[in-house]
Amino acid sequence: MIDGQPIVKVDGLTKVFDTESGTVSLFNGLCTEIAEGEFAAITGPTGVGKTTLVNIVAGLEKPSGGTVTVLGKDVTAMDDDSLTEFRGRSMGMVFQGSQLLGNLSVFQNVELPLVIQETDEPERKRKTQEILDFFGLLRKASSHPQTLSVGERRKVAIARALVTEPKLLLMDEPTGGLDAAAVNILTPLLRGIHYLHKGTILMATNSLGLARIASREIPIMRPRFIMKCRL
Amino acid sequence: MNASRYLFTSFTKLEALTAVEIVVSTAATVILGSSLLISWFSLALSVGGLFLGVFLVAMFTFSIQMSSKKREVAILRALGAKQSSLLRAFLLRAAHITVVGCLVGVAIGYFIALLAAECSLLSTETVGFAVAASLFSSFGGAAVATSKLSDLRLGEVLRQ
Repeated sequence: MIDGQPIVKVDGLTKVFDTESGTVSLFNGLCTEIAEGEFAAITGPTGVGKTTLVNIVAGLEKPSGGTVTVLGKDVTAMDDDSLTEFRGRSMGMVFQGSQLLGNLSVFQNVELPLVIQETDEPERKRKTQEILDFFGLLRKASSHPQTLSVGERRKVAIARALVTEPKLLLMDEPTGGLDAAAVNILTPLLRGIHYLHKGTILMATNSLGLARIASREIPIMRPRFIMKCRL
Repeated sequence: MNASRYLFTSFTKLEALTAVEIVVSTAATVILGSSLLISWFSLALSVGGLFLGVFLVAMFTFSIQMSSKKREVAILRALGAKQSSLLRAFLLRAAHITVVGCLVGVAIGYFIALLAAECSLLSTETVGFAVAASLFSSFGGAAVATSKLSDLRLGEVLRQ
Protein backbone atom coordinates (compact mmCIF):
# COMPACT_ATOMS: atom_id res chain seq x y z
CA MET A 1 0.00 0.00 0.00
CA ILE A 2 1.04 3.61 -0.57
CA ASP A 3 0.61 5.47 2.73
CA GLY A 4 -2.21 3.09 3.67
CA GLN A 5 -3.91 3.56 0.29
CA PRO A 6 -4.76 0.63 -1.96
CA ILE A 7 -2.81 0.28 -5.25
CA VAL A 8 -6.00 0.67 -7.28
CA LYS A 9 -9.15 2.35 -6.02
CA VAL A 10 -12.22 2.53 -8.22
CA ASP A 11 -15.00 4.76 -6.94
CA GLY A 12 -18.47 5.10 -8.50
CA LEU A 13 -17.28 4.13 -11.98
CA THR A 14 -19.61 4.38 -14.96
CA LYS A 15 -18.98 4.40 -18.68
CA VAL A 16 -21.81 5.39 -20.98
CA PHE A 17 -21.63 4.92 -24.73
CA ASP A 18 -23.89 4.66 -27.74
CA THR A 19 -24.36 1.41 -29.61
CA GLU A 20 -26.59 0.45 -32.53
CA SER A 21 -29.16 -0.90 -30.06
CA GLY A 22 -29.18 2.18 -27.82
CA THR A 23 -27.27 3.93 -25.06
CA VAL A 24 -25.49 1.52 -22.73
CA SER A 25 -24.17 2.14 -19.24
CA LEU A 26 -21.31 -0.04 -17.99
CA PHE A 27 -20.16 -0.75 -14.42
CA ASN A 28 -23.20 0.81 -12.72
CA GLY A 29 -21.15 2.87 -10.24
CA LEU A 30 -18.56 0.16 -9.54
CA CYS A 31 -16.55 0.59 -6.32
CA THR A 32 -13.60 -1.68 -5.60
CA GLU A 33 -10.09 -1.64 -4.20
CA ILE A 34 -7.04 -3.72 -5.02
CA ALA A 35 -4.41 -4.03 -2.33
CA GLU A 36 -0.65 -4.25 -2.87
CA GLY A 37 0.47 -7.69 -3.96
CA GLU A 38 -3.07 -8.79 -4.80
CA PHE A 39 -3.87 -10.74 -7.99
CA ALA A 40 -7.36 -9.66 -9.01
CA ALA A 41 -9.33 -11.03 -11.95
CA ILE A 42 -12.03 -8.99 -13.64
CA THR A 43 -14.52 -11.59 -14.78
CA GLY A 44 -17.72 -11.66 -16.76
CA PRO A 45 -19.00 -12.66 -20.18
CA THR A 46 -17.94 -10.94 -23.41
CA GLY A 47 -19.23 -7.40 -23.80
CA VAL A 48 -19.61 -6.45 -20.13
CA GLY A 49 -16.68 -4.01 -20.27
CA LYS A 50 -13.70 -5.94 -18.89
CA THR A 51 -11.30 -4.46 -21.46
CA THR A 52 -12.84 -1.01 -20.93
CA LEU A 53 -12.18 -1.29 -17.18
CA VAL A 54 -8.53 -2.29 -17.76
CA ASN A 55 -8.16 0.59 -20.24
CA ILE A 56 -9.68 3.07 -17.77
CA VAL A 57 -7.31 1.92 -14.99
CA ALA A 58 -4.41 2.34 -17.45
CA GLY A 59 -5.69 5.79 -18.42
CA LEU A 60 -6.19 4.77 -22.05
CA GLU A 61 -9.90 5.59 -21.86
CA LYS A 62 -11.82 8.16 -19.85
CA PRO A 63 -14.83 7.10 -17.77
CA SER A 64 -18.18 8.93 -17.94
CA GLY A 65 -18.36 9.14 -14.17
CA GLY A 66 -16.45 8.21 -11.03
CA THR A 67 -12.75 8.18 -10.25
CA VAL A 68 -9.91 5.68 -10.56
CA THR A 69 -6.90 6.15 -8.31
CA VAL A 70 -3.72 4.22 -9.07
CA LEU A 71 -0.83 4.39 -6.59
CA GLY A 72 -2.50 7.41 -5.01
CA LYS A 73 -2.95 9.32 -8.30
CA ASP A 74 -6.32 10.00 -9.91
CA VAL A 75 -5.73 8.77 -13.47
CA THR A 76 -9.07 10.21 -14.62
CA ALA A 77 -7.92 13.74 -13.83
CA MET A 78 -4.28 13.69 -15.00
CA ASP A 79 -3.13 15.57 -18.08
CA ASP A 80 -2.04 13.53 -21.07
CA ASP A 81 1.75 13.81 -20.73
CA SER A 82 1.80 13.19 -16.95
CA LEU A 83 -0.50 10.21 -17.40
CA THR A 84 1.66 8.73 -20.19
CA GLU A 85 4.80 9.11 -18.10
CA PHE A 86 3.09 7.67 -15.01
CA ARG A 87 1.78 4.70 -17.01
CA GLY A 88 5.22 3.97 -18.45
CA ARG A 89 6.89 4.18 -15.06
CA SER A 90 4.36 2.39 -12.85
CA MET A 91 2.30 0.06 -15.02
CA GLY A 92 3.00 -2.85 -17.32
CA MET A 93 0.37 -3.76 -19.89
CA VAL A 94 -0.46 -6.94 -21.75
CA PHE A 95 -2.98 -6.15 -24.45
CA GLN A 96 -5.53 -8.40 -26.03
CA GLY A 97 -3.80 -9.86 -29.09
CA SER A 98 -0.28 -9.04 -27.78
CA GLN A 99 0.19 -5.84 -29.84
CA LEU A 100 3.86 -6.32 -30.68
CA LEU A 101 5.65 -4.20 -33.27
CA GLY A 102 6.18 -6.41 -36.31
CA ASN A 103 9.17 -4.45 -37.65
CA LEU A 104 11.14 -5.09 -34.43
CA SER A 105 12.77 -8.28 -33.19
CA VAL A 106 11.62 -10.03 -30.02
CA PHE A 107 14.56 -8.45 -28.15
CA GLN A 108 13.72 -4.95 -29.40
CA ASN A 109 10.02 -5.40 -28.55
CA VAL A 110 10.82 -6.40 -24.97
CA GLU A 111 13.46 -3.68 -24.66
CA LEU A 112 11.06 -0.98 -25.91
CA PRO A 113 9.62 0.24 -22.53
CA LEU A 114 13.19 0.65 -21.24
CA VAL A 115 14.13 2.61 -24.38
CA ILE A 116 11.13 4.88 -23.76
CA GLN A 117 12.27 5.37 -20.14
CA GLU A 118 15.76 6.19 -21.42
CA THR A 119 17.40 3.49 -19.29
CA ASP A 120 21.18 3.18 -19.81
CA GLU A 121 22.08 0.74 -22.58
CA PRO A 122 24.03 -1.84 -20.49
CA GLU A 123 21.23 -2.02 -17.92
CA ARG A 124 18.62 -2.14 -20.64
CA LYS A 125 20.34 -5.05 -22.38
CA ARG A 126 20.87 -6.89 -19.10
CA LYS A 127 17.24 -6.56 -17.98
CA THR A 128 15.94 -7.58 -21.39
CA GLN A 129 18.17 -10.65 -21.52
CA GLU A 130 17.17 -11.66 -18.00
CA ILE A 131 13.46 -11.48 -18.69
CA LEU A 132 13.81 -13.26 -22.04
CA ASP A 133 15.75 -15.98 -20.28
CA PHE A 134 13.02 -16.31 -17.64
CA PHE A 135 10.41 -16.80 -20.35
CA GLY A 136 12.63 -19.20 -22.31
CA LEU A 137 12.73 -16.80 -25.25
CA LEU A 138 16.47 -16.10 -25.51
CA ARG A 139 16.81 -18.36 -28.55
CA LYS A 140 14.08 -16.34 -30.27
CA ALA A 141 15.56 -12.95 -29.36
CA SER A 142 16.44 -12.02 -32.93
CA SER A 143 13.26 -13.46 -34.46
CA HIS A 144 10.38 -11.25 -35.50
CA PRO A 145 6.92 -11.64 -33.92
CA GLN A 146 5.39 -12.89 -37.19
CA THR A 147 7.56 -16.00 -37.04
CA LEU A 148 6.42 -16.95 -33.52
CA SER A 149 3.43 -18.99 -32.41
CA VAL A 150 0.49 -17.16 -30.76
CA GLY A 151 1.57 -18.54 -27.37
CA GLU A 152 5.14 -17.31 -27.83
CA ARG A 153 3.90 -13.90 -28.92
CA ARG A 154 1.83 -13.70 -25.74
CA LYS A 155 4.92 -14.58 -23.69
CA VAL A 156 6.85 -11.78 -25.43
CA ALA A 157 4.01 -9.37 -24.59
CA ILE A 158 4.12 -10.42 -20.93
CA ALA A 159 7.92 -10.12 -20.87
CA ARG A 160 7.64 -6.61 -22.34
CA ALA A 161 5.13 -5.66 -19.64
CA LEU A 162 7.38 -6.97 -16.86
CA VAL A 163 10.77 -5.69 -18.03
CA THR A 164 10.32 -2.35 -16.22
CA GLU A 165 9.35 -4.16 -12.98
CA PRO A 166 6.06 -2.27 -12.75
CA LYS A 167 4.16 -1.89 -9.51
CA LEU A 168 0.92 -2.72 -11.31
CA LEU A 169 0.61 -5.31 -14.09
CA LEU A 170 -2.53 -5.03 -16.22
CA MET A 171 -3.45 -7.95 -18.44
CA ASP A 172 -6.32 -8.11 -20.89
CA GLU A 173 -7.34 -11.66 -21.76
CA PRO A 174 -3.79 -13.08 -21.56
CA THR A 175 -4.96 -16.50 -22.75
CA GLY A 176 -7.54 -15.23 -25.26
CA GLY A 177 -7.22 -16.85 -28.68
CA LEU A 178 -4.77 -19.51 -27.47
CA ASP A 179 -5.23 -23.25 -27.95
CA ALA A 180 -5.56 -25.57 -24.94
CA ALA A 181 -1.87 -26.55 -25.00
CA ALA A 182 -0.72 -22.92 -24.92
CA VAL A 183 -3.22 -22.12 -22.14
CA ASN A 184 -1.82 -25.03 -20.11
CA ILE A 185 1.69 -23.57 -20.45
CA LEU A 186 0.71 -19.97 -19.81
CA THR A 187 -1.58 -20.48 -16.79
CA PRO A 188 1.10 -21.80 -14.38
CA LEU A 189 3.50 -19.21 -15.81
CA LEU A 190 1.10 -16.43 -14.80
CA ARG A 191 0.83 -17.93 -11.33
CA GLY A 192 4.65 -18.02 -11.16
CA ILE A 193 4.86 -14.40 -12.33
CA HIS A 194 2.62 -13.32 -9.46
CA TYR A 195 4.79 -15.25 -7.03
CA LEU A 196 8.08 -13.86 -8.37
CA HIS A 197 6.96 -10.39 -9.48
CA LYS A 198 5.42 -9.71 -6.05
CA GLY A 199 3.61 -6.75 -7.61
CA THR A 200 -0.10 -6.19 -8.00
CA ILE A 201 -1.87 -7.81 -10.95
CA LEU A 202 -5.21 -6.84 -12.46
CA MET A 203 -6.30 -9.25 -15.18
CA ALA A 204 -9.41 -9.27 -17.35
CA THR A 205 -10.54 -12.73 -18.39
CA ASN A 206 -13.61 -14.69 -19.32
CA SER A 207 -11.86 -17.97 -18.61
CA LEU A 208 -13.03 -19.46 -15.33
CA GLY A 209 -9.91 -21.63 -15.19
CA LEU A 210 -7.62 -18.63 -15.40
CA ALA A 211 -9.71 -16.61 -12.94
CA ARG A 212 -9.15 -19.41 -10.41
CA ILE A 213 -5.42 -18.62 -10.15
CA ALA A 214 -6.21 -15.06 -9.04
CA SER A 215 -6.56 -14.29 -5.35
CA ARG A 216 -9.81 -12.39 -5.91
CA GLU A 217 -12.49 -11.98 -8.56
CA ILE A 218 -14.16 -8.73 -9.52
CA PRO A 219 -17.28 -9.81 -11.38
CA ILE A 220 -18.69 -7.25 -13.82
CA MET A 221 -22.46 -7.11 -14.17
CA ARG A 222 -24.20 -7.07 -17.52
CA PRO A 223 -24.44 -3.59 -19.10
CA ARG A 224 -27.60 -1.61 -18.53
CA PHE A 225 -29.49 -0.03 -21.40
CA ILE A 226 -30.47 3.47 -20.37
CA MET A 227 -32.13 4.25 -23.66
CA LYS A 228 -33.23 1.77 -26.29
CA CYS A 229 -33.48 2.65 -29.94
CA ARG A 230 -36.96 2.96 -31.32
CA LEU A 231 -37.33 1.34 -34.71
CA MET B 1 17.98 7.41 -27.84
CA ASN B 2 14.32 7.74 -28.65
CA ALA B 3 11.73 5.00 -29.10
CA SER B 4 9.91 7.05 -31.75
CA ARG B 5 12.70 6.15 -34.19
CA TYR B 6 11.00 2.74 -34.39
CA LEU B 7 8.07 4.42 -36.16
CA PHE B 8 9.98 4.81 -39.40
CA THR B 9 12.15 2.00 -40.62
CA SER B 10 11.78 2.29 -44.37
CA PHE B 11 11.13 4.90 -47.04
CA THR B 12 7.54 4.65 -48.33
CA LYS B 13 6.28 5.31 -51.86
CA LEU B 14 4.20 8.22 -50.59
CA GLU B 15 7.24 9.81 -49.01
CA ALA B 16 9.06 9.38 -52.32
CA LEU B 17 6.15 11.18 -54.03
CA THR B 18 6.46 14.11 -51.62
CA ALA B 19 10.22 14.24 -52.13
CA VAL B 20 9.78 14.27 -55.93
CA GLU B 21 7.17 17.04 -55.65
CA ILE B 22 9.59 19.12 -53.55
CA VAL B 23 12.47 18.46 -55.99
CA VAL B 24 10.36 19.50 -59.00
CA SER B 25 8.95 22.62 -57.31
CA THR B 26 12.32 23.77 -55.98
CA ALA B 27 14.07 23.14 -59.30
CA ALA B 28 11.29 24.91 -61.23
CA THR B 29 11.52 27.92 -58.90
CA VAL B 30 15.28 28.13 -59.37
CA ILE B 31 14.91 27.90 -63.17
CA LEU B 32 12.02 30.38 -63.34
CA GLY B 33 13.76 32.75 -60.94
CA SER B 34 16.82 32.88 -63.17
CA SER B 35 14.88 33.32 -66.37
CA LEU B 36 14.80 36.56 -68.31
CA LEU B 37 11.56 35.65 -69.98
CA ILE B 38 9.33 35.79 -66.95
CA SER B 39 8.06 38.74 -64.97
CA TRP B 40 8.06 38.82 -61.17
CA PHE B 41 4.27 38.65 -61.15
CA SER B 42 4.05 35.49 -63.26
CA LEU B 43 6.97 34.03 -61.29
CA ALA B 44 5.08 34.54 -58.02
CA LEU B 45 1.96 33.04 -59.55
CA SER B 46 3.65 29.91 -60.88
CA VAL B 47 5.71 29.39 -57.75
CA GLY B 48 2.60 29.88 -55.58
CA GLY B 49 0.83 27.15 -57.55
CA LEU B 50 3.80 24.80 -57.33
CA PHE B 51 4.13 25.16 -53.60
CA LEU B 52 0.42 24.84 -52.97
CA GLY B 53 0.92 21.44 -54.62
CA VAL B 54 3.80 20.64 -52.25
CA PHE B 55 1.66 21.64 -49.25
CA LEU B 56 -1.24 19.43 -50.36
CA VAL B 57 0.98 16.44 -51.21
CA ALA B 58 2.81 16.70 -47.87
CA MET B 59 -0.49 16.96 -45.99
CA PHE B 60 -1.91 13.98 -47.88
CA THR B 61 1.25 11.88 -47.40
CA PHE B 62 1.49 12.50 -43.69
CA SER B 63 -2.26 12.02 -43.14
CA ILE B 64 -1.99 8.59 -44.79
CA GLN B 65 1.17 7.84 -42.84
CA MET B 66 -0.51 8.83 -39.57
CA SER B 67 -3.44 6.49 -40.33
CA SER B 68 -1.12 3.61 -41.22
CA LYS B 69 0.98 4.15 -38.06
CA LYS B 70 -2.03 4.46 -35.72
CA ARG B 71 -1.40 1.08 -34.11
CA GLU B 72 2.34 1.69 -33.60
CA VAL B 73 1.64 5.14 -32.16
CA ALA B 74 -0.97 3.71 -29.77
CA ILE B 75 1.41 0.95 -28.60
CA LEU B 76 4.24 3.43 -27.99
CA ARG B 77 1.88 5.80 -26.16
CA ALA B 78 0.52 2.95 -24.03
CA LEU B 79 4.09 1.95 -23.13
CA GLY B 80 4.86 5.48 -21.96
CA ALA B 81 6.06 7.43 -25.02
CA LYS B 82 4.94 11.06 -24.81
CA GLN B 83 2.77 12.51 -27.54
CA SER B 84 5.25 15.36 -28.00
CA SER B 85 8.11 12.93 -28.77
CA LEU B 86 6.01 11.08 -31.35
CA LEU B 87 4.91 14.36 -32.91
CA ARG B 88 8.57 15.35 -33.10
CA ALA B 89 9.36 12.06 -34.87
CA PHE B 90 6.73 12.74 -37.56
CA LEU B 91 7.93 16.33 -38.04
CA LEU B 92 11.58 15.28 -38.11
CA ARG B 93 10.74 12.79 -40.82
CA ALA B 94 9.01 15.58 -42.79
CA ALA B 95 12.06 17.81 -42.25
CA HIS B 96 14.44 15.11 -43.56
CA ILE B 97 12.37 14.61 -46.72
CA THR B 98 12.03 18.37 -47.26
CA VAL B 99 15.73 19.17 -46.78
CA VAL B 100 16.84 16.36 -49.10
CA GLY B 101 14.19 17.38 -51.66
CA CYS B 102 15.31 21.02 -51.47
CA LEU B 103 19.00 20.23 -51.94
CA VAL B 104 18.35 17.95 -54.90
CA GLY B 105 15.89 20.48 -56.36
CA VAL B 106 18.38 23.37 -56.12
CA ALA B 107 21.10 21.23 -57.70
CA ILE B 108 18.86 20.14 -60.60
CA GLY B 109 17.50 23.66 -61.07
CA TYR B 110 21.00 25.13 -61.11
CA PHE B 111 22.19 22.51 -63.59
CA ILE B 112 19.30 23.17 -65.99
CA ALA B 113 19.73 26.96 -65.66
CA LEU B 114 23.42 26.46 -66.42
CA LEU B 115 22.60 24.47 -69.54
CA ALA B 116 20.22 27.22 -70.62
CA ALA B 117 22.99 29.77 -70.03
CA GLU B 118 20.87 31.61 -67.51
CA CYS B 119 23.08 30.95 -64.54
CA SER B 120 24.53 34.45 -64.50
CA LEU B 121 21.10 35.56 -63.33
CA LEU B 122 20.88 32.91 -60.65
CA SER B 123 20.94 34.83 -57.41
CA THR B 124 21.16 33.83 -53.77
CA GLU B 125 17.72 35.39 -53.34
CA THR B 126 16.22 33.04 -55.93
CA VAL B 127 17.73 29.97 -54.28
CA GLY B 128 16.82 31.26 -50.83
CA PHE B 129 13.25 31.90 -51.93
CA ALA B 130 12.94 28.42 -53.48
CA VAL B 131 14.32 26.72 -50.35
CA ALA B 132 12.18 28.81 -47.97
CA ALA B 133 9.00 28.15 -49.99
CA SER B 134 9.77 24.39 -50.08
CA LEU B 135 10.43 24.20 -46.37
CA PHE B 136 7.40 26.27 -45.47
CA SER B 137 4.91 24.42 -47.68
CA SER B 138 6.15 20.87 -47.00
CA PHE B 139 6.61 21.36 -43.28
CA GLY B 140 3.28 23.21 -43.09
CA GLY B 141 1.45 20.35 -44.79
CA ALA B 142 3.06 17.80 -42.47
CA ALA B 143 2.26 19.91 -39.40
CA VAL B 144 -1.43 20.16 -40.37
CA ALA B 145 -1.59 16.37 -40.87
CA THR B 146 0.21 15.45 -37.63
CA SER B 147 -1.84 17.86 -35.51
CA LYS B 148 -4.49 15.11 -35.53
CA LEU B 149 -2.20 12.90 -33.43
CA SER B 150 -3.89 14.10 -30.25
CA ASP B 151 -7.30 12.86 -31.48
CA LEU B 152 -6.14 9.23 -31.40
CA ARG B 153 -8.30 7.07 -29.11
CA LEU B 154 -5.72 4.69 -27.68
CA GLY B 155 -8.17 2.26 -26.08
CA GLU B 156 -10.10 1.81 -29.33
CA VAL B 157 -7.00 1.38 -31.50
CA LEU B 158 -5.47 -1.22 -29.16
CA ARG B 159 -8.63 -3.34 -29.22
CA GLN B 160 -8.41 -3.84 -32.99
